[in-house]
Amino acid sequence: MLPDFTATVGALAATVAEREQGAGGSPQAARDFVLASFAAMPGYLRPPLRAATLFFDAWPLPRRGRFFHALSPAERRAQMEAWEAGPAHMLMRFYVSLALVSLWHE
Amino acid sequence: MIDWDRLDLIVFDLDGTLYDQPPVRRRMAVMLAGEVIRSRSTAVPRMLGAYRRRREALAEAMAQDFAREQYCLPGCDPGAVRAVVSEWMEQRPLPLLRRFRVEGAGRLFARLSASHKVAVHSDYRVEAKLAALGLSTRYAVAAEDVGRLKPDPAGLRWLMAMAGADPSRTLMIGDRDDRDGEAARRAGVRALIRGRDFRHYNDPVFGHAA
Ligand SMILES: [Mg+2]
Repeated sequence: MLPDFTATVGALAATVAEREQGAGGSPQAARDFVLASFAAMPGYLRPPLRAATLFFDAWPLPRRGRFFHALSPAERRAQMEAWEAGPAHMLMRFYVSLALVSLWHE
Repeated sequence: MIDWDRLDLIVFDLDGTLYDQPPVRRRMAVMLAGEVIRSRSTAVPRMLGAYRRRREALAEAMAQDFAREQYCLPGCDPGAVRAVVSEWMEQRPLPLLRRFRVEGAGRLFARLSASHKVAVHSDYRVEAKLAALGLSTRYAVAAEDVGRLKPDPAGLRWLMAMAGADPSRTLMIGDRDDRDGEAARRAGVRALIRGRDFRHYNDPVFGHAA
């Protein structure tokens, strides 16, 4: 298995959707919106963000033997919240805010 | 089939009807993400999300005093909510709108304006967005002007009174059947819904307009 950008974005978006009680919207819609927003970003920003995302997907591998996107929902949430409080907070804030916008009703 | 000669007043919704909302929202989301990183806080997207949910709830509940109520979010100062909404939902999207104007809108507006009364009816403020889209109309009404959100037909009735138009000679063009379509039904007005009845303004349904 390899780090998987789409699956990682999906896992992050789903974790935000599950955490934001009452925000409405589905994890699938959140994932699709975040991926579409990513695609709409300036070209020079996408490669470093993609690389950082893949790096964080692989982060749990040494300790848990699995990629972030393959963790259970509870494990993903704990990992994401650890990142939010640590050195990955910028990347997490980026994904959290995109996922939050996806949860707005039309 | 629409018999355009039998119509006096054409009322357009704005968001999602005159411009494509998804690409604007994606770009706004990326701008918001930049703001979240700069401010080190997710307060702004959270506040905007709560505001939008509150507006939807107020529309369902047919709230009387929604102009004030919409900014009353738990744990937030209404003045601060008003300022964030103004910046992120009214001002910042403006430069993006023209690029995502629905195909054929400019030509249809020009043609219709010569033969019909054209109006815009939105739940949000109309003037700045319409100007940013490069469009103009004789009549415009926002929810705050009539104190009611769609699907309440108050705005549509107000426009018909202003234009001296009968419901049978009025057409509502929107993108949400549960808001624009329902307001039209309650006012006895026919509606065209974007995404269901047409996709853009070069669609055959507009072929004989004006
Ligand atoms: Mg609309």
